[in-house]
Amino acid sequence: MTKKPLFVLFVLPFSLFLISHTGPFFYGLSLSFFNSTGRFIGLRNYLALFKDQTFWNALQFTFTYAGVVAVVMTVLGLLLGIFINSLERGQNFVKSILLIPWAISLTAWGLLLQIALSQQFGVVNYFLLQTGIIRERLSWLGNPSLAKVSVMLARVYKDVWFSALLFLTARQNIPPELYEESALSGAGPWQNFRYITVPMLRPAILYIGIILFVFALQDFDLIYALTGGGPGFATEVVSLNIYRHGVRYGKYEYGIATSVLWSLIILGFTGVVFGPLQRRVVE
Amino acid sequence: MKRRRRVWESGLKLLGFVVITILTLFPLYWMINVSLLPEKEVIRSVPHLFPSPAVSTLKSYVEILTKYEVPRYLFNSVVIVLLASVITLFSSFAVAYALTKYRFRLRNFTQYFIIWLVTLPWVVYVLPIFIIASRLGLLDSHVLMVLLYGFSGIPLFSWFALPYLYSFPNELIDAGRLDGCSEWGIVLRIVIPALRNVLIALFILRFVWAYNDLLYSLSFTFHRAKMIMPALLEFPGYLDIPFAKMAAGGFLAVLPIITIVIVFQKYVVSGLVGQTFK
Repeated sequence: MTKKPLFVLFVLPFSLFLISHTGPFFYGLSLSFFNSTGRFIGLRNYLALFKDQTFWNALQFTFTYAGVVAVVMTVLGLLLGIFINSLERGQNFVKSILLIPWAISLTAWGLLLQIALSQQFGVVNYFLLQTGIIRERLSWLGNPSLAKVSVMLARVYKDVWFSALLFLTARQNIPPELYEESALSGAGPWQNFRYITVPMLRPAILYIGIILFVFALQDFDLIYALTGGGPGFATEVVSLNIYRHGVRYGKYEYGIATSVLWSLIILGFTGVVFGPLQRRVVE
Repeated sequence: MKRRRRVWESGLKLLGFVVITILTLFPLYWMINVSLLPEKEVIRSVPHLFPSPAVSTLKSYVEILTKYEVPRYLFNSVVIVLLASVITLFSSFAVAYALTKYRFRLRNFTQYFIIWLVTLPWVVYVLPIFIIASRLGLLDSHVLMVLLYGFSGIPLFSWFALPYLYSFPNELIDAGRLDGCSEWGIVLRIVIPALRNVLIALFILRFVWAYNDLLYSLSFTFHRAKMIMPALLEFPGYLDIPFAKMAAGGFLAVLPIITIVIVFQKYVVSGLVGQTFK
């Protein structure tokens, strides 16, 4: 094996990422021991971070948000995918519209939902009032607990169709002979679901669930556009917390210290929780 | 008995079909609806459910297209993301090819390292890149954005490409070598043509994600290279939030992606399913 192709095919492209991203990351790591005037302050940024309640709240909400979003999108997506697969007529039509909400950017989605969820003028409150589901207009984005629910619902609503489409494709890759055999032995739809569909889809469920969780941990766009982390800091996730300290307040060193801690948490989490799963994905 | 169950079943299916159709199409419909109303008509407790000719207007579109340079922001986004997606695509494809078809030291380590990089949120790079780019005078430049969006996707897209290259038959590569093809010839004449559809799929996925991204475009572009997503957040209102302009801007921003997704529908899914069902 000659050295030249390996250099051009691997070392060169991979180092583009290392130079543009990993390099700055380590540069940032060294900056996190200084204050904004350039004086060495040791671990003081990190100590301040440990006392910063907004960071811990953001951390907690990030994991809640990502967990809820990933689980709901996986389960609901699976059920939707199986349902769409059972449609004889109109299946192609449904398949073609599932990607439309996915195509809308999370930023535009957040702005659209600011309108739709508005307490006074929103179409959501209007419909819920008309159908008698609620008695008075809810403050979807103004009430701290409800706002948390709103951002999760917003995320799920936009992309659950996409996960349904993935599960639909996975479902259609199961050999039909399995269902023919089970029909011969008189199995009903529940038995089919329990003993054929779910076991056969286990790798897809695992993979889609993990991907959704990993992506949801990084979410920034939707929450920034929909609530800006508010009301107060109720819906702030870690990426917003870092952005707020670094870009908005101009406290770069402190924001970078937060970034470093956040990546250590992710690293630990990836290693402990996903380690065994990763090996399966790699091999 | 059996007959009645059939009727029930098809009734339920019809219901599900209708519900799914309404739920998936309503957001886009609502965006168009609001964008066609005058600002005053958006802010009312009984919303207009459709843009009736009596009230509807294209004023919001005219305003954002003439007063706020939306065409330039759209152009910036499309050009930057197009170039960046080409970079991501070829770099990631090369990395994935080398990782699956060549044996070298650190190969296994690199595969784990890539997965770790995939899980690491992009936000952790924003502040150090901001500092370095501002020292280099590169903030708010097209070059910076092309390079950042081009390079930032390399771990994720190498990882997406891996399963396709794993399942690419080594015999074809060996046959190429026997026929006297150079290593380059093999990649260019055998592997790339055979995996054309995969490349298109990954390209589209990268284009859509980078175009829709807010984090980098918000943090690194302000005026000259300003992209459309951060621009959407900035239509100023006087006393109220400018809902109609936001909806109009949102619709214009979504339009290119909707077009791509409708035209290249089947590719979008196949770009992701390689990992799922191998």
